Parts: sequence; structure tokens; C-alpha cells
Amino acid sequence: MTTGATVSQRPAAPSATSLMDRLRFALLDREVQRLLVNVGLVIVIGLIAHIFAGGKFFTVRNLDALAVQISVVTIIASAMTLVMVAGAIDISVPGTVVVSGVLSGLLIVSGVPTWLAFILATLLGGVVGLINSYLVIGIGITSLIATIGSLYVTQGVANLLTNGLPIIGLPEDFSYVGTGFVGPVPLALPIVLIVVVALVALQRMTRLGRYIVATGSNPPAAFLNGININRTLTICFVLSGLAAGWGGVMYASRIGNPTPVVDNDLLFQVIVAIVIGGTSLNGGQGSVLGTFIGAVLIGVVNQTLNLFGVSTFWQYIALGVLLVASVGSDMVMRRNSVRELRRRISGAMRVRRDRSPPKL
Amino acid sequence: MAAEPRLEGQTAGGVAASTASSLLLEARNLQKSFAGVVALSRGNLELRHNEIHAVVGDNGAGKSTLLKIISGALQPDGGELLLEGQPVALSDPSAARRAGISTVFQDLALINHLDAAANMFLGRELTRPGWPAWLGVLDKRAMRHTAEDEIRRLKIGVRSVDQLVAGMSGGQRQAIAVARAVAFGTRIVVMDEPTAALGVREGGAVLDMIKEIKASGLAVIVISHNMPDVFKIADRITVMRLGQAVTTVRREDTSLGEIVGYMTGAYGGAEAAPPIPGQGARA
Repeated sequence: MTTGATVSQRPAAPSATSLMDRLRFALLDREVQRLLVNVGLVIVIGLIAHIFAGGKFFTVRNLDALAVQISVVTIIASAMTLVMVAGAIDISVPGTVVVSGVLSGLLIVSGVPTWLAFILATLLGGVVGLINSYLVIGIGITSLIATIGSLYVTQGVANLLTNGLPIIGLPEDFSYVGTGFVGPVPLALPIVLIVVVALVALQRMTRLGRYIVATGSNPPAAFLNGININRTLTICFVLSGLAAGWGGVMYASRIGNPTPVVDNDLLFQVIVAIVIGGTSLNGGQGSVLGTFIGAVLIGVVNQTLNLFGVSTFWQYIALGVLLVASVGSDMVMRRNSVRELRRRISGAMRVRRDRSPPKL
Repeated sequence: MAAEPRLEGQTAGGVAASTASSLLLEARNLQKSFAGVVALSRGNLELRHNEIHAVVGDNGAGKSTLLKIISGALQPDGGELLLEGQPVALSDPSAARRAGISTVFQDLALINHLDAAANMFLGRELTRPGWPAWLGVLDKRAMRHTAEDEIRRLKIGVRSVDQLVAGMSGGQRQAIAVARAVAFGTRIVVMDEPTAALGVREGGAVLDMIKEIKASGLAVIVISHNMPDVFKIADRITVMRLGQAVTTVRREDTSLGEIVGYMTGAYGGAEAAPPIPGQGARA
């Protein structure tokens, strides 16, 4: 047993963690900081747009348009966040979007009920995810390369299926998912919210959410703790594929005619939303909620520029600047915190200069 | 996989009772080679109930290989592992955990991006009862409370179980890893170099923790380079040299000089001859 002397030398045992402590740790968390900054940006940009555009930003019509505009990107990015937290990446999503959109169109044209065609097209996305996970885990190809491969293959398959032409002659209900309304609310909004809430809950509340973090952060340690890292990564790829499959249905439905043309801009918007949302490319860190806010932020910026009639060319520049500024500010903050730490260490040794109190 | 859990029930039978009473874990002639290089040729270990058993040896003596087999991280090429007299196959670390053996690995196997409580329950998360359990919904409150209790019991200086382990000191990280092993080791806690990366004071705290584990009724296997630490805590000491278990002695019956003699091959005579690759030891 321990002697009394050694016990007294040790720091006191922890008291039950108070709410303040937990709040403090949460605020120190850089993911939380970034989330708050992004929410702030959304509100500020929205307010500025609202004021300068004569009260046209926070209108039902504009917000409806915003929801529809960001729906596909948000759904895909939310699921791909899990892949990235697990330490991989899924580049194949635009290919999956195209092939599932085309498949849903072909099935409907050949007489399959619309709802069944949508389900089958979504499942096709899951199959692409399964193939991706086999390439990455079973064969051992880096996820970046493996999923670029499946991006090209899915694109090719979509073109073969339709001979490179758009599918025409679809019934009206094909467009309902992408453009329909439930009362004043576009159908896309509840769909996006259901997907995001489900994935946020999966990440924050379930065992799988933790296994994803562990798999991305330190795979050997995860294995030694009895976590099946291969199964975890497979589930992430399949979820990403399913989301891309469903995203493809919504995308095709919004356009009206499924076209076998890959929209690479979609891929970059997905990645930008994830990165702005604070997800690390190195795995282990990131949140679906952050990605959702990131997607909303991109949407708000685009919508604002649209409102002021700024050309798409400038919108590209804005998106680029937003991405670089977001990641750059994070780097600067990190560097400052290192500098701050040095200052505090040296300050402890020297006489303290009169400076603003160290913030942490 | 087949034989690992439910040993408690089996050993309740009369046949096993005599063996079970004397030995908790027995390694018989475990062997392991890596790409033709023999790392372990005669991995023998007899662990009694509620003892602190140190395994010492020079670099490359096979200590870590033996430990990894016991913890399920490696599969032996030959030999047997018996838990309370029953042969067990530990196909992976979670099988070992289910059999009541938990390990503190040298690199601790902590996840930096998770907090202390999450790390303590990693791979063994508590779920809410009823249908949420089916979905794997975590019972974070229960886990936090248990983690806090465990930290208090082991007298670990960690301010909050909500803290990310990335921001912790070496001693705190070690303490979290030990606390995790203790919380889930129902029979045996295995530790690989638990004090190697620590300062004197933090190392002392970990040694106290090891004594606490013994006091709570478990058996401990400690692998260490640090002879003074070994002599502070061990009940018995097994010396390994060149892939073989050379001898096992009681701490009271030995001296630092004798142990070092066995480690370097000065004692041990023919028993300690270097193994011939490919030919394992005889029973």
C-alpha cells in the first residue's frame, strides 16, 4: 500500500468535474472556437447582406433558395467528414453523384417506380463506398489514389450507360425531391436536416463515433484497444457512398435531366466545407456539425454575392479567399498561442513586462 | 477465439481447482520468430494469484514479445498459454481483455483526440440500457463517473476526466493508461516499461499505483529495465536472456548482483545457452 508521505506529495484527487470546468475545456477546444467563429461569420455576413440589400436576405424566399443551393454539398460533406476523421478521404463522390443520378433516371424511364429508383440509386452509392473500402483496406491503396480511380470509373460507367447524353422523358415527380415544397419549406431542407442530425448524433453519441476518431487519430492504439479499425473505415466509406448516391438523386432531380457530366466544383465545395468546418486532413479531428456550419457559411457567402449581382467569376475568388483565410487564421492563431506560451515561460523567469494579460 | 471467455465457470469444476489455486497464468515454451529471427524461443512464465511479477532482461531478451503474446497483440508460433489451468488462445487484444488480461503498452496506446474518460473506456464503452444500446448510444455520464472514481482510487493527479490526453504530462498519460488497465483487468494487468518515460516523482507515483493494483486483488506482470524499481515492488522476478526465460526467483531470495548475472549470462550455465534458431526449447 502507499505510505502517507507519498500520497501527500501528489496532487489532490480530482473533484467531480464542475460545469464551469467543462465549459472551460470546451472553449479551449479549437474545434469549438472555430465553430463559434463560423457561426459568427454566418450571422455577420447575413446581417450585412440584409441591411445593404434592403432587407432581402432574411426572407423566406431567399433562405429557401439557400437551403436548396447547399443541400447536395451539405449531405455529401457531412458523411465525408466521417471518412476524413477516420484518416482517409473520398474523392469519388462527384462520380458517384453522376452515376447514381443517371441510374435513377434510367430506372424510371424503364418503368421502375420513382421511389424505388431513388432507393436503388442511393444503394449504388453504398456499393461504390464498399468498393472504395476494399481498395483501401483490402488491397492497401492510399484512399486518395483509390478514390480518384473510382471517380474516373464511375464517370465512365455513367457515360456508357447513357452514351454520354442526358436522360430525357422523365415524369414530373422526378423533380419533386430536388425542387418540391412542403408548404413554405423546400423539401430539401428537412432532408438535409435529417441527414445532418443523424450524422451529428452518430458522431457525438455513439460508440462508432469514438471508434472513428480513434481509427483516424492513432490506428495501432485503436487496434490494441480492441477496435476493429477496418470495419470502422468501411462503415465510413459506405456512409459516404450512400450520401453521395442520395446526393446524386437530389442533384439530378434538381436539374431535371440526369447528365453524365462530372461536376468537379461539387467535390471542391465539399472539401472546402469540411476544411472550413475545422476537420483535419490528418484524421482524428473534425465534426459533422462543423462541416454543416462550413457549408452554410459557403452558401451564405455565395448567396450574398448573388444578391448583389456579383459575377460567378468573383464568387470563385471569394470562395478561394474564404478557404485560405479560414485555414490561415487557424494557423496564425496556433502560432500566436505558441508565442504566447513562450512569453509566459520566459515571463516566469524574468521580471514580467507590462503587457496585456495572457489570454488562453 | 474459441476458448477465451467463460473460464471462470469452467474452472469452478473440481479437476481444475487444484491447478487454479496455484497458478493464475502459465506460459509454456512460447515461441515467436520474425522473418526467421527468433525473438522468443523458450517463453516460460508462471504467474501466481495476486503477485507482482517482474520480467527483466537486456534489450532483445524477448520480454516485449512475451508480453505481446500475453496481451493478444501477437500470436505465438508454438507453445501454450494457460489461464487458471485452461489453455487459451488470445487472437487479438480484445480477446485478451475479455479473458481478464489488460495491458499498459509502452507507447500507452492512448488516443490524443479523445478525453481522459473516453480513453479509459476505449473499446469498452458503456451504453445506455434498452434500445439505445443496440444503436451503440454512449452512457457518457456513467463513464465519466466511473473514470472519476477510478482516478480517485488510484490517486492520480488529473484535474478533469474531460481533458484531452494530448495536453497531459507524461505521468498523467501513464496514469490514465494504468487506470484504464486496472479498471478492466479482472485478473491480470500487464505493464511494459511503466516507468521508463517518467521522472523520479512520477515514476514513484506509478509504482505506488502498481501496489494499489495488487492490493485490489489482481496480479501484475511488469516488464522493466529499471532494477531499483523492480526491487521496490516485485514479489518474484523472471529473468530473460536471448529469447529464453532463464530463471524465476523470489525477490527476498535474490540480489541485484545475481539478477544482473543472469541477465548477462554470467550465471545460468547450460540453461542459458543461446537458442539455436529454428529449434525451440523442449518441454
